[in-house]
Amino acid sequence: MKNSDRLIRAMIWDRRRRAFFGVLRELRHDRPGFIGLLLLTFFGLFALAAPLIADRSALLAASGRNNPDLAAPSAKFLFGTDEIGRDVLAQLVWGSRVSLFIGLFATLVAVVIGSVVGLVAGYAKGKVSAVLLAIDDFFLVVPFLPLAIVLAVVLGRSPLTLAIVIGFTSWAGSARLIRAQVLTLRERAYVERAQALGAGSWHVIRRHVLPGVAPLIIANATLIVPVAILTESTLSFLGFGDRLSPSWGKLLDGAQSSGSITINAWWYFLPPGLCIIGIVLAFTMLGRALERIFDPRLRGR
Amino acid sequence: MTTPVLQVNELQVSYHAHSGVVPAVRGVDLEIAHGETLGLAGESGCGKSTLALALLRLLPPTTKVTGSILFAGKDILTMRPGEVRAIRWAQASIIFQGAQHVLNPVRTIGRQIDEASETHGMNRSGGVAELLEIVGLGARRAKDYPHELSGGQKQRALIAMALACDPMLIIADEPTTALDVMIQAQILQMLEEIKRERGLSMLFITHDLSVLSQIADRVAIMYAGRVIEVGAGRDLLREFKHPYSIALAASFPVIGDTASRRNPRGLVGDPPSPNDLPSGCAFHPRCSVAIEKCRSTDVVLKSVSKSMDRRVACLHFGGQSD
Repeated sequence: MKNSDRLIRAMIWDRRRRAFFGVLRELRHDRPGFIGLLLLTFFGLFALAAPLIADRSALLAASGRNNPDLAAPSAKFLFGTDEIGRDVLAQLVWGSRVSLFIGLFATLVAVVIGSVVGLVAGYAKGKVSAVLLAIDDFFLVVPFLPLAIVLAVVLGRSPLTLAIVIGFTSWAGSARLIRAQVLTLRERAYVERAQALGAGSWHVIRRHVLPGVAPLIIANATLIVPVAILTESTLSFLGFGDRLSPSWGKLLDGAQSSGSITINAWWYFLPPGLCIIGIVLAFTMLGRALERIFDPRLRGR
Repeated sequence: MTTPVLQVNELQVSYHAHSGVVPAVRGVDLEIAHGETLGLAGESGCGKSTLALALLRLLPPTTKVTGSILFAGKDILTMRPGEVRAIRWAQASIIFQGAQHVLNPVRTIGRQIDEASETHGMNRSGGVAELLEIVGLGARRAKDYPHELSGGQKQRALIAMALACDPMLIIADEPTTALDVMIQAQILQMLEEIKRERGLSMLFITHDLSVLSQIADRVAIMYAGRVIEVGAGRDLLREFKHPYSIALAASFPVIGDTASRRNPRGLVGDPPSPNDLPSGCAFHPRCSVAIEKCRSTDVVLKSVSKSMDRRVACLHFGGQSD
């Protein structure tokens, strides 16, 4: 590689870095987006710091043997204990890891499927597009929760399979969105130019269509995360989650089945509920803000 | 004689629209020799750009193209899609009109120029930097996005792109249309130099005859999907023979002739719709010297002089009226 090429590449990276910080700067002026980012940072640190806050052994059923059941918050148990005497705070911090992992991984699955289907359905014409759209329609209209429950039961209940199930059932909307954008991009003059210089479909999609829809995909992904987390909570609350990993939804399930709501053991059901609300809000506010930043047409609304 | 870089025989292109089959190019023969520039002129809608796109099979698949298009002796119309893609840019590249839209706004100039060699798996020694130097932009421009360049600079970037795979033929489709006269002159001069240095052939498409006088070795005038007059550039531009060419030339003011500047002569009527072409010579409804026979006789290109390769499609020339 020639020296000048290397210099150019370095300048391009420099520009990208500046573009990234430009997005951050814009986020600071977008109040909901900024709050969302702060909340998200908080939850991220919370999940990372889990081993510092509580030992993993506190999750085991045996750990509560010598503790009072359903004890109110105290100096020893900041968030009280559950029906078998386990520390609620320990379950909450470790549960944040499970909920975040499932939310993010499910989103990854949904975004990958949705992007591929959207790109191909938008770029290809004729039968391929029609078949993909029919599949997309199916996933759009099929009742989402029953399908997810059936798949979760059939495929097993580890966090990974749960994430795949949730991702697999929530890509349809983004495929639609991406396809619509691809339809406008594929008619641009630079696509014709790329074809004139001998480029095949793969090249055109990778170099011209994908960069055009990338901001859309990112903003859309941020909006899928809260839905995925909520779905995981729902599945866990309904008893279809992984029994061995303490997600927030499973915590709520335990709170409900142990009757903590009737006896007003608020320290058991309130924290996981607030955490779910908090993280869903954080992702939604950040996602909406990113949409506003990437799509100037939405500005000022 | 060596095989021409490009030889087009009996090329017919028709679009299939809702209103039926629309002929856009109706039997065109062209030949471009090594190192030669053929200027192709005509008003909007006469089929110039359709012809350019047809040469590399870039028209939508519903378009019907017949005849033959030989690149170095091989017919592109009978090739498999993979072979066509290999020909594109490596043998013939296009300088598009409207640089504004032809460049992807979210990718840097350098990367877009690099696309050609990338798709053809070539690794140019000089790379993008050298190409940018050739067109007078400077290597540092590679990192810029299209919106950071002026119209003339974008056009230069497109020319750099056209050179990326060392093609034998450059198809320039109105490359200077959107530019002001000064920039236009610079770009033309640069094209001329690049062409001479690299021994390229060029098909230069324009509606501006004054541009052709600067750059073309031979000139072909198109009307309603056909070539109606063709000849050596200097010879043809000095004296047009076909009534349409004369009218086209008269629409430009002549330097030194004040009368022509004050009163440019236009051409009555509109170009014929390809949907509904006049019978006989397609130009006869607008022609000032049309005779009765023009309505019924399908005129073809005929030589009008033996010494020079000058051919005209008009009943008044080449003894066709007899």
